[in-house]
Amino acid sequence: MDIRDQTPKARTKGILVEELDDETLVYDLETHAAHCLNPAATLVWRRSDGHTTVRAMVPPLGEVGLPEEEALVWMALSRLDEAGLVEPVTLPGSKGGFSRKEVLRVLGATAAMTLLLPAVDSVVAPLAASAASCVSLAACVALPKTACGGLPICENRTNCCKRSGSKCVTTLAC
Amino acid sequence: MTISVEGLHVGFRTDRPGVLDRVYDLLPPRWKPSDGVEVRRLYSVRVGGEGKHRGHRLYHVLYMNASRIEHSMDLEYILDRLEADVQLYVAERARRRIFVHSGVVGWQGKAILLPGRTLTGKTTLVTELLRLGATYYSDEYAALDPKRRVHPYARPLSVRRGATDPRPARQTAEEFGAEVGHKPLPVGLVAFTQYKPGVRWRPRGLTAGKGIISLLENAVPARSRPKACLATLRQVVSAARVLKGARGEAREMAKALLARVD
Repeated sequence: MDIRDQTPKARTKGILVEELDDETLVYDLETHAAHCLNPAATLVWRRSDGHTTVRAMVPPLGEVGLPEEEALVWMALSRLDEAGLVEPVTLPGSKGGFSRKEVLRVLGATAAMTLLLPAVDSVVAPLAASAASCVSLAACVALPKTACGGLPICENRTNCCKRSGSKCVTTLAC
Repeated sequence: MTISVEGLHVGFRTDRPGVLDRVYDLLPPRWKPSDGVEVRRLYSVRVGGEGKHRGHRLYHVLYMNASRIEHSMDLEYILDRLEADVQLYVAERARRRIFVHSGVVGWQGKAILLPGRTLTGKTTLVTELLRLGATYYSDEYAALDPKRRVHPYARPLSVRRGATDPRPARQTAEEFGAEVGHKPLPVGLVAFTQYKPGVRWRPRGLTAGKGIISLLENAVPARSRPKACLATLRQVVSAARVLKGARGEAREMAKALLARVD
């Protein structure tokens, strides 16, 4: 099968979706990551219904001011795939081929177009304790490595809780 | 003693009445006494000090319900921990509001939010804004409601006294010549900044989506109530300008911020 005849399918389970005017917010209830899809990524994601082919996603790109280039659909799918927002798709070539720089080079596009390229911005929602003013020494070393937060240690606020390798530790310099 | 705050009931008890008097100063703003109600959370402070035998000292111990959450020879530290735990509990579980880690001031009928975690320079910026005539709302949390408003959470400011001093000083807004806000304000401006020496503030506007996820990164109940967070933050961002950019000295930044609201 031609990979352009694939019919990407957006993930529907375990997520919360907020649709804005031309962007989409997706909150992943499993990983607690929040994703913001820009207009181009939103366009591809909304068409990822399991019936629309990659080929058919190309013409609508004009709606968001982009040229009708297949590489842009692949770029969007690559970003959505990395964020875990579509079921796995087979991409042509390597993922590195869909960097902004590479896509702009291939399309001969202008720098102004960079803002329109498909993009998915992601953040990880904080643990409540990470949003506090300080964290106790015991709580710091028990935090997962992604949630050290750089917070002051409550026992001595000149020290902070920071990541070191695969764990959170206290450091002398905040 | 039992209090009610943000729709939550919290109890406190101690074996030394004098210590309970000090707990009043640590409570979240707008608390009310609510004796006679059942509480989900009960804090107990067991005061240590000299033991029965000569040279024998006992730890001060802090319990939350049946769990011992801290012990120390330093009672001040135990009270600091109690304060931090109560504030966080309220910030995470408040029934009708979403608490975002943020400095907040009022200016010409609108609120300016300065989201950021500890040590990002929030309080420094808030104090400069107060010196320029802004009204104080909070240096810790923006308490946001679904009607795009921020409510006062005006505890004394935690001003750091230096890199070697472990405890911040508490200063009131009045000490900076500022008034304290009492009414909720609509959010007019949200500014994400971080101090970088020598930098001039040249912020860029964020789209609604990026503004929402940036606020979510600072929202205390982000994981426990993501749906409510997204809905409330969406409302806030729909009516406010959201800017992001590194800043230099707080004084210059404060002037520039107020000019953006004018």
